Amino acid sequence: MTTRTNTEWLSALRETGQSQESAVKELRQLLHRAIFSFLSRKGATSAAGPSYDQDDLAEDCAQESVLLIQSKLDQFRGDSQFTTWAYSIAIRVTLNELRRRRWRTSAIEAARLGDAMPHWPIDNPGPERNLEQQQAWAILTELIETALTPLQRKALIAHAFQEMPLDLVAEWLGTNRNSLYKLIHDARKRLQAALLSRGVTHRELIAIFDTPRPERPYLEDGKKSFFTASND
Amino acid sequence: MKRTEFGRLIDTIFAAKAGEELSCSDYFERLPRYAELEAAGEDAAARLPDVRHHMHQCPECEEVYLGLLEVVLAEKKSDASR
Repeated sequence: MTTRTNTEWLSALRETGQSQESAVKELRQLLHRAIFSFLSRKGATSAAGPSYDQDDLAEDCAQESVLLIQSKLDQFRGDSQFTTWAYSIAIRVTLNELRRRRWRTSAIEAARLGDAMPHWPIDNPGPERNLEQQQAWAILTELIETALTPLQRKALIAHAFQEMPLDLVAEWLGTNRNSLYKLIHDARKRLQAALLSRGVTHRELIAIFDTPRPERPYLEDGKKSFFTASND
Repeated sequence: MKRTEFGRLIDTIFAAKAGEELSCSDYFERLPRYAELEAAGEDAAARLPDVRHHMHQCPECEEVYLGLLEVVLAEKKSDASR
C-alpha cells in the first residue's frame, strides 16, 4: 500500500480513470481495516443483533464512507492528516449504523415516542436514598413538563430517556442534526434556569443521585438539602 | 436509563452555555485535528475548548471521538513498529 500526502490523496480521488480507481480501492481497504478493528474492540456483535456479521458490516460501512468522502472532498480543512479525516467519517457511519440497528430492536412504541417519561430513571437506586431521589426526580419531570416547549420536550424525551439516536430524532421531527442539537441545547438552558430558580444546584442534584451518600458536604452554608428540608 | 447516563444528563443541563455552542457539523470538522493533538500527547482540550465542550454535551459525538482516537493511536503504533 502506498503512503500518500494529503495533496496526493485529494488529487487522486478527484481524478478519473486508473489513478482514481487505485486511490478509491486503497481508501476502502484502509477504512475496512479500521472499521473491522473498531468493531472487534467494541464487541459490537451482540449489541447489533444476532444476525449481524462483522465483516459484512465493515464492508458496507467502508463502502458508504468512501462515497461520503468523495462527495465531501471540498470540505476537508487540511488541518489534519487526510486519513484521520476519512477515519472520522468512517467511525461516524459505523456508529450511526449500529445505533440504527439497536433502535430498530428497542421496545419503544411509536405512540409513546417523545411523550412518556419513564417512572424511574435510575438502575438499582438503593432503598436508603429512594425518597430523596424520588423527590428530585419529581421536580425534574415536572420542569420537563412545564418549562419546555412541546417540541423541546419531545426531542429531549425521545433522545435522552428513550434513547432514540439523534439523527433519527432529527428525521422524525423533520429537521436536521444541527438544528436538533440547538433545540436540545435551548431545552437544557431552560431546565438549568428552572432548576436554579427552585434553588436546585448542580452539585446537589448530582450528590442526591450519587453513591455512596455524602454527609451533605455540598451545602457550603450549612443549609438542609432542598429535597429533604420538609422531611427532616 | 443507567445512573451514569442520568448523571451525564444532569451535567449537560448545568453545563449549557448562555450563548451559541458548536454544532455537530462544526464539531466533526474540528474533530480530526483534536484527535491528532490528543494522540500526540498535547492538551487538545486546552487548544480546542469548544470541541471538548461539545463532546461533553453530546455523548454520541463523544463516542465518535473515542472510536477515532483508538484508530489514530493504532495507526501511530503500527507506523512506529515499521
